[in-house]
Amino acid sequence: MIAAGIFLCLFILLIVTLRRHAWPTVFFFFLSLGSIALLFLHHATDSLKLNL
Amino acid sequence: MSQMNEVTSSHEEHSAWKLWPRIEFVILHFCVLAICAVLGGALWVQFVAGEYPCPLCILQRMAMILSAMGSIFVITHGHYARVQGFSVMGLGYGMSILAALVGLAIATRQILLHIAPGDLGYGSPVLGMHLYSWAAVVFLVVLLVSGLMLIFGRSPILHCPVCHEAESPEDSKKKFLRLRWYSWCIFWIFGAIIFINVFATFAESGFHAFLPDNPSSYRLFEE
Repeated sequence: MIAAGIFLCLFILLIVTLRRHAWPTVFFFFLSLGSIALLFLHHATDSLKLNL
Repeated sequence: MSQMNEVTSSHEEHSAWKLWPRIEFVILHFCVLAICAVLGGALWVQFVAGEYPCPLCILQRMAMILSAMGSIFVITHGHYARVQGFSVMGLGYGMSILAALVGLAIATRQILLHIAPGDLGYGSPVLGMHLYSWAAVVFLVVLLVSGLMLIFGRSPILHCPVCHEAESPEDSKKKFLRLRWYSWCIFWIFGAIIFINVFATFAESGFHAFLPDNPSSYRLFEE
């Protein structure tokens, strides 16, 4: 569901970009990028069962 | 200021500089269309060939969509040098470069997972390479094109010295609606691909927070 949510966030990013709102574009871009990076880190480290 | 005018006039004299904005416009459209083609190919492999995308494949799709957003931003804001304090080219190509770097990291991780001799890799190879290897190539090309466009791309102030804020909302709307029909076609295709991915990913994950590492079914329809 998190992945589907990020795709939805990308769809909103497309809409705000087409409507030419610069600040919302920047906000949704970094929201998407941060979510992708965090999800990547989760999938990369989950199986390692790290004890931090 | 006079020095700037000299620079402007010297560029305007050269015929290549007059043609360059059109070439850049075509390159930007081609970039978005190429990403659409790659994502369409991934959807074809998923639905026609019947292979389930793994979490890293899904993340690479997201990064590809995000890297195409930079080109879309420059296409829609191309009439202006600056928008709400941001440089149009800087923001557009900066978005593409950041997204491509993240995507390249994800693709490299998946390549390294399956790089050992004897490992069959994930999914079927296409044209001799797996989809994640092609994804790495795509992200490298995005980085290369974005870098080249930042170096050789036109500076809008030389051709259209207008800021978004300096223009009336009516003129701004007219310029927006003046986007060509093929631009809108590409944006619609791109939007449709994102929307298909929303439902495809939701079907695969079901009501679970994360996707399974080795998916073998659409969990939404199984539960």
